[in-house]
Amino acid sequence: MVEAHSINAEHKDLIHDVAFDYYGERMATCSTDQFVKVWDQDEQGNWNLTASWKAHSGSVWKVTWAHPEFGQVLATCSFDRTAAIWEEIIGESNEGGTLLRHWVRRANLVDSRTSVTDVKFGPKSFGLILATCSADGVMRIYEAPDAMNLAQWPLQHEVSLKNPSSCLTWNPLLSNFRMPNAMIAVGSDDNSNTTNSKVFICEYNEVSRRWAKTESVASVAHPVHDMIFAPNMGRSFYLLAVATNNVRILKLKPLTDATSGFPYTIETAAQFDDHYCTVWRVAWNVTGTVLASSGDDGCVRLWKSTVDTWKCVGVLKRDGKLPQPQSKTAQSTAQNNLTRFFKLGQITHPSEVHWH
Amino acid sequence: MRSPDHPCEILSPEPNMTISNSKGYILHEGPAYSLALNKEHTHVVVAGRNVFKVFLIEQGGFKECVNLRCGKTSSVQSSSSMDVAWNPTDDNVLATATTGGAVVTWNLNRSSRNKQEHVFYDHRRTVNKVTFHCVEPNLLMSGSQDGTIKCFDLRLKEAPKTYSSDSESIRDVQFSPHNSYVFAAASENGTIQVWDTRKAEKCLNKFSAHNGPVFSCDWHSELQYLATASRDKTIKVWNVTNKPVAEYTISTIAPVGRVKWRPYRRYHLASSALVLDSAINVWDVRRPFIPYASFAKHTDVATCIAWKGDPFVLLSTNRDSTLHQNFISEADLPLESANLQGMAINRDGDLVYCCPVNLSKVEVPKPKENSRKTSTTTSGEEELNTSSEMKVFRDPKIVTYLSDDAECIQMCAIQYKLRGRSIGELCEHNANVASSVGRPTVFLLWNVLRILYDRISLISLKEDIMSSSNIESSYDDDGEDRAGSSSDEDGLKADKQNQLGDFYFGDAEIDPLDAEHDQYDCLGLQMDSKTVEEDNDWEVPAESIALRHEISHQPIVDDPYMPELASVSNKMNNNNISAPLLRITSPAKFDAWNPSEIVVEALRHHVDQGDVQTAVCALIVLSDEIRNELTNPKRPWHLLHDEIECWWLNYLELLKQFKLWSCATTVIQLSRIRNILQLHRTSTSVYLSCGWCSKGLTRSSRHCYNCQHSECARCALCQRIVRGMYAWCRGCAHGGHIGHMKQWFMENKYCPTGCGHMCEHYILCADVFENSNFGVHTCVFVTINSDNVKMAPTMGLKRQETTKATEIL
Repeated sequence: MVEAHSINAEHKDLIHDVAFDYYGERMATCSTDQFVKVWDQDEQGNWNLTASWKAHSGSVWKVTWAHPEFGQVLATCSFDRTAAIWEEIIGESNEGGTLLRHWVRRANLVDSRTSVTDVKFGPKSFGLILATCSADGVMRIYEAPDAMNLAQWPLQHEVSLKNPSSCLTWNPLLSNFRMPNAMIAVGSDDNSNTTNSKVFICEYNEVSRRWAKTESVASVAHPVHDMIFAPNMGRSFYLLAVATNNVRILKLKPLTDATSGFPYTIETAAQFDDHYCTVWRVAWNVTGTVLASSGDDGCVRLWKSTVDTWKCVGVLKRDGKLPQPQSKTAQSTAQNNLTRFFKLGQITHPSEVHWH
Repeated sequence: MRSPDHPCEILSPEPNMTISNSKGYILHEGPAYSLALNKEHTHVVVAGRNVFKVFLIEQGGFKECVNLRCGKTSSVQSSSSMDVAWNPTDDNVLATATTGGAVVTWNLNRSSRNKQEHVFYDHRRTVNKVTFHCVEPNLLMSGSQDGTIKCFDLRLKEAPKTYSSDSESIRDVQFSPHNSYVFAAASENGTIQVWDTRKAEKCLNKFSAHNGPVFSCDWHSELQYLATASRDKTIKVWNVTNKPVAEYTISTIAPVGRVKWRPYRRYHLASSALVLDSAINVWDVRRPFIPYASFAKHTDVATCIAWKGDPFVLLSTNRDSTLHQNFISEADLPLESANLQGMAINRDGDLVYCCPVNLSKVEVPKPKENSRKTSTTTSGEEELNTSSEMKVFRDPKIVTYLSDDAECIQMCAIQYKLRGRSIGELCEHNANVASSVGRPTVFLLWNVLRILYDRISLISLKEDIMSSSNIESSYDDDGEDRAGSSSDEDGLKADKQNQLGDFYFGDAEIDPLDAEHDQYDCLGLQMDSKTVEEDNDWEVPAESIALRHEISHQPIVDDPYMPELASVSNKMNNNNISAPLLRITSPAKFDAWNPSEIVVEALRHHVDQGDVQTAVCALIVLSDEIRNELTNPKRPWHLLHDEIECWWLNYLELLKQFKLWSCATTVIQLSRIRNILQLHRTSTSVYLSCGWCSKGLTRSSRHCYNCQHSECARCALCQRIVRGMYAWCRGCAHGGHIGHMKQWFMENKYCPTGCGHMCEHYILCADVFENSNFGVHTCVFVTINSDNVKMAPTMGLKRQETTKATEIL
């Protein structure tokens, strides 16, 4: 039986994101209640709340940690159309001998005209670089030219993707080998159609010194809710997990002989429909060998790669109980409900309907 | 939140809405400041500086009916209208408030083009608000900038009742739907007054509602709630049953100009910003953090909003001179598209997962929301799903797939032996490690490597194949002796030697690989032509050769014109150091069967499977000769140097993530790759400060140029100048002998000098003694030599320093 340690987050509303720091010893959560909370792990492995503050004047969608080399730095993005950079300050010890820690806002990035849906720090080798995407489909790159001065985050690039963006992920490259350009994948949750591509690859062009959209992945046409590149670990290809109507694993393989254009082939390495519902989250383990996905069915499923194939190696239910009786029945009941609605829709004067 | 509104849009009065009205109706005369709907919600009147028109509301648009600003223009007519009201019972009667202080009534039934009925010149300043009584069609109320509220009886056309507030000006007046004698007035000083129409001398109730002007207020149709909107960017909902209490507070991103309760929805209200935010938001007051729905397509802020009698359509006039019908079905539902689940995995394989508590419930739509008929009493408000649960999964059984990897990597990183033995022994040891952590394929790989490259087996192979004399055999005995005596002690010694060497390594150390490589390139495959000297140069096994020695010999050996010296060095090596691990003197072996291709394939396979550790460790263990063969550019399958570097970087990243600093250092040291070795030489400075004046020691000296003290490194306890290892607090710059410091900080937290600083020694010393993984972030132990304060402790050196420190202690 899975033992799940419950943490009372004490957020006053829904939690939208949780993120571990580089070492996995600190955790940050953010919620619609506009608060961000930081948790530290003690020796027994328990998570203790160490900071909590009102970060925005709207729902906080995402929270992410910078590499510890730059200090204890968080970035958040919010419905209030801003992204913010936070730094932890360790003050002089107080009477009790404990260190006083608090988080201060170092910068507020106000360029977006709509809700900022995701924020992610770039690979450490680029320095302090930050990418955001917003509901109006603009990806922005900010860079702190001086790592010691977190207050300065000039906007460096804007890439318009013309699709409402929901998530982005940096390709975590460590060397230029097989990967000449910095790469970001941006996902769109546009649900107005299911024909257009919902995954876009943006690359930095060293020659023109600009970011540009270089590819859209045609195979993903349903709204994308989360995406994450696997840690590369020296692989000769890149794995991109996509949470959409199902779980996808895209494989980006560098082309050796491509002289121009998009130098990768993109293929779907795996696709799982086991959730039978919208998948909201995907996450890789530290080496990118196991993928976890979570969906509306309230389950976390684990997928492990064996040579060239992926298989389900575990299902974590959030309460230990069986999940929905069977995903398929849940599906059908939902459909029943839908049918009922269509019937109702045909009544011309709703005011004549007398059920309560 | 699978919103209940989505399905019910089917039932909304405009089910076949096809015409997109996103651009709205453009008022060519300029923006309207206000709008009002008639009783039947079929017509809308808009009023502004230059516009005063009545429109018929159509599906997807508006049709102009009457233009009230025409004909002969009186001064009253030409002054701009601040507000407009439509009589709730008589569809022909309108009232407007003008900036000039007049309250004007209009009758659409008049036959002339001029529909003006009567003008009340009672206010001295701009009238901000006019409103009709809900049930008394002849009662008209106005609120003005002059701080008064006046109540007109349309039949009397004479001096009205005046309610004088002591505040500056009245922004909004609203009759209560619950009590026909009660009305509320919002004023610019942030107070709300509740009046009884019969008592003009004093208000019933007055309370301070906001920290800024209140621009708008609205009564709830059913509950004793009054919503107020203010410049302080908040909307507050007051329960005015008894003493007014702020039941809900919504904080928004901009000053709020208008607020209107949504009909038939108990907890919903619409709001528009005064400036900045062009969106019109519909809030669920119980969720004050994020709007339930948002009309975000507008290009400018809304000046006035009104529900079209049902909960599905909201009319708005905007500052960009447009008039809109906003359909809830077209609104953005921010929480609808938001990700309500959070999940993350940390390096140890702990999985944390957050999701809404009643996840399954939210998928069940609520049919009762659909019935518009139901009055507010039963308007089944959707239950809010406002709490998430957070769970950490770290059960060894099920999550084993997650933690497994992490543990393996750590175990292997710590237990693998990468140097100090022969290839065969290393491979055997590492194979055992791999099998003990449950990695059969890695176990196999190590064994295969052992069989392929172990010196002993190669020699036997050679003896079988080759008949020619081989230098190797001359070393053989030596080597085997060594192998026999090789013990942990030996390894330790070798380690030590290595450490010393590392500590002082110079620029040249990073060169050997490249030098060799170039040489190799020149030679191509003509290995048979290789001389003994060259051979000698190649024997740089990861074994106990202090790199320093090698460097000193290398240029000599490299030079083919100095064979004598080379042979000397050869002898030296032979005498001092164990036999070479591998001697490829026979090209025939390669020609016959070259295992390198398979090895390369195997390494790449492991890397592609996410196991970069195995590949890097194997490359470390394999000697240069083998590695050069693996990277031989003549082979189609050869490993690229960049590729190897990439593996290294990834592995180092992994080790750092696990805080295995010393392992990372070893891996860097043994990399034999220029770019990787350079990692050791970046950011290697530690800046010290003077123990007396705590100013930074700027020059490479222990003499402080600030306070002219030359005894910066005085031990705080024994007061003597510290030679050698020195423990130093980064906070107060005091310190001393490591032993003394250790003793002191076993019992004390504060600096021994009494400066009151709670030194970091306390933490750091504890670190050194309890935690062998002494981190990069805390570098304290630096040697103060007689002339060198600024040292070069790289990550690895620091490690050695701490090791030394612990040894001393």
